[in-house]
Amino acid sequence: MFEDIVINVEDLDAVYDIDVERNVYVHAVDGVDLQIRRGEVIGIAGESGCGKSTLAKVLYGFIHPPLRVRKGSVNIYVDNVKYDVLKMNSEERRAKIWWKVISYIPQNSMNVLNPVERIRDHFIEVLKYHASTVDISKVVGFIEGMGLKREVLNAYPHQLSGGMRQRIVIALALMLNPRIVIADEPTTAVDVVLQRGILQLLVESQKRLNNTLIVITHDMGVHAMITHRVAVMYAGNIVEVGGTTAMFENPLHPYTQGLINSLPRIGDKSTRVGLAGSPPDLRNPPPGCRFHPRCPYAMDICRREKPPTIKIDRDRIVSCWLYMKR
Amino acid sequence: MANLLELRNITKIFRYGLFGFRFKAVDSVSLSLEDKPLIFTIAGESGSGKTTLARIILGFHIPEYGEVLYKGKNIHKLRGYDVKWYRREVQAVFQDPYASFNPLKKVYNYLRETAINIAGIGRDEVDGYIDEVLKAVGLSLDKVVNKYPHEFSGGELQRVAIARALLTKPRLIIADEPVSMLDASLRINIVNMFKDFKERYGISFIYITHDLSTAYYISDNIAIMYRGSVVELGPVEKVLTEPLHPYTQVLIESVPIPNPKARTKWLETIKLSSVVEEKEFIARGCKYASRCPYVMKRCIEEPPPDIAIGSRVVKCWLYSEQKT
Ligand SMILES: Nc1ncnc2c1ncn2[C@@H]1O[C@H](COP(=O)(O)OP(=O)(O)OP(=O)(O)O)[C@@H](O)[C@H]1O
Ligand SMILES: Nc1ncnc2c1ncn2[C@@H]1O[C@H](COP(=O)(O)OP(=O)(O)O)[C@@H](O)[C@H]1O
Ligand code: SF4
Ligand code: SF4
Ligand SMILES: [Mg+2]
Ligand SMILES: [Mg+2]
Repeated sequence: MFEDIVINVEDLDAVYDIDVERNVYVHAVDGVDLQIRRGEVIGIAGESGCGKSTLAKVLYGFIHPPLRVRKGSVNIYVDNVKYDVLKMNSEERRAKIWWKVISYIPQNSMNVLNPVERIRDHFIEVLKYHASTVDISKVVGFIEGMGLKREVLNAYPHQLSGGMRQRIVIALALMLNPRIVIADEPTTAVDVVLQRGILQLLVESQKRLNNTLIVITHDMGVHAMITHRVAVMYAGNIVEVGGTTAMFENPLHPYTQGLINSLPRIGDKSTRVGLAGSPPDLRNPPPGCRFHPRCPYAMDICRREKPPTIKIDRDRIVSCWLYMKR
Repeated sequence: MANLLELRNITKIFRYGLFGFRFKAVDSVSLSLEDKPLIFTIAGESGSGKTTLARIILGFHIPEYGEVLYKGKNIHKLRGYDVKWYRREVQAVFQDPYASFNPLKKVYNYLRETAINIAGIGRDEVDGYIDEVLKAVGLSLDKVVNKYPHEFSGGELQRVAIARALLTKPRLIIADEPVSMLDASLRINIVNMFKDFKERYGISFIYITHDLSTAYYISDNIAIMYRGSVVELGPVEKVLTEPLHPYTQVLIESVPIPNPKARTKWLETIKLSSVVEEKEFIARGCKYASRCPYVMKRCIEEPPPDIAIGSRVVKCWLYSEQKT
């Protein structure tokens, strides 16, 4: 049944505890179901604060207080082995899945390098733990393939530009040929030429290794350029999933429509309007459809009841009362 | 027509960097803004000197060479009353709104201080005036009055920062990457505001950005910077749809397009540079030579001149025969 599914997320619910005694928490992931297919580039879209990074952390099993998973499951299927991520502890995850089965490029990752360690030592550390041999000449070949010179191995992180550090973090994540790569906002802080180069590196390695790439970004332009499918998140919920081309041609959820229609394009000066307001405070999300305070089509039922997830066709699902056939 | 702002051959030298040598973060830049409401974009990659230029115009840096004239006056030589006048006329909005406000101070206090001390509003009128200005950015006094900076979202706080700039009824606002930290869906609301203020209040903007799509959408003119130099300058419709300089061309081709049909071209592999940036700053000839697909012998030996082509100026040897 799960032949072409590499990650199956079911009914996932994750919160950041604020005040345990008074039961105050940020409800960052709420009832998420998502099937990620083997060999695809899938995007996770949505404005900042909608839970994209939280979802990524849970998929990877990087769960530390105040982050807590309240329910649901994440199963990874790789090389005929099933890994139940949420049933493993951190030690097991580190030994069995991190770096080799799944790797994770966190948001702001150019700042995750250890400032007092040379770049070379970062590579050696990962290799020592996970590979049978530590072969630095392989590392040299690898980073040269990313347009970096071998000298950077001797540099400390602060001696490199942001773009170079970003490439180092990506090289680390790809080095052990993981079957799944999660990249959280991999190019938010870089300019467009470098952004294009870095995303091309990720996509080329995905094609070459035929692995699965999960790209998280609020930039719909990036989704249009590299993803096969997109899942749109709003306030902790996945509100629409579909093939990228179909979704850009015909976005169904009012939130997806807002995201796409607010983008200006070079060569077109016609007036664009953005979505009004901003995502809600997830300590106290709106009842019913969480998007209703910003939705131009909100109806009575939207304010009272959570919309069901509706399957439009093989590839497209949407959570919105507008698509409920009565 | 007289110019509102004129930069004449501005050069700013910094004395450190990765290799500890002197380099020109801004290299003989000349620009002018006509004295009519307009939006002038400065774009270019990280480290190209955009912020340094903005800080020179605001008087925070003194250039080693060149002068900045605002309404004909050299702004680095202003004295007495003129200093205050310039602070009223020219306001700034920065990239990170959280860094522009003291986290321990209610934002209302900032607005009040600016209104009273710089704009010269009377104490009994100040709240009404602040409320009116906040409404122009889609907020209101009661939504703001008791809050500290961290109690606002990034988009809201940036709107407060814009309101603060508007309080002095400025003629010019320098906005340094005002939307870079905001989601695309919020960017458009902010840039729509700039367009609206230009039309309604006759305010001009210097809009500094990486985001060429919003630049096209709102601006009249654009300057593309590379390693401290302006490499192409002209009306935004020309520069961004028929770019002449090889760097402008790559820049525009690299903008992600929100249309999956455009992806084939965008995915055509580009080579990532491994050149140390500071070396390009001190290159003898064209600073783009180490990356340029059209590089010629002359480019390495001699810096290219500014060549006027129609309404545009381009700094590239490819156009040296083609004068109009
Ligand atoms: N106070 C300073 N002392 C020394 N070097 C500086 C100083 N300020 C800026 N620089 C250097 O000058 C160059 C231009 O920097 P600037 O901040 O103007 O670039 P920018 O175009 O605004 O870049 P970004 O897009 O990253 O904001 C960079 O190499 C930068 O490191
Ligand atoms: N360590 C944390 N503690 C408390 N709340 C957090 C923490 N990290 C994120 N949040 C909150 O969780 C929600 C989702 O955040 P995040 O997953 O980072 O969203 P995105 O990646 O879509 O921007 C937001 O309301 C955010 O403020
Ligand atoms: S369910 Fe209602 S409020 Fe929510 S997106 Fe659909 S129409 Fe809008
Ligand atoms: S002057 Fe020469 S190297 Fe520089 S951009 Fe023009 S063609 Fe390229
Ligand atoms: Mg995030
Ligand atoms: Mg800057």
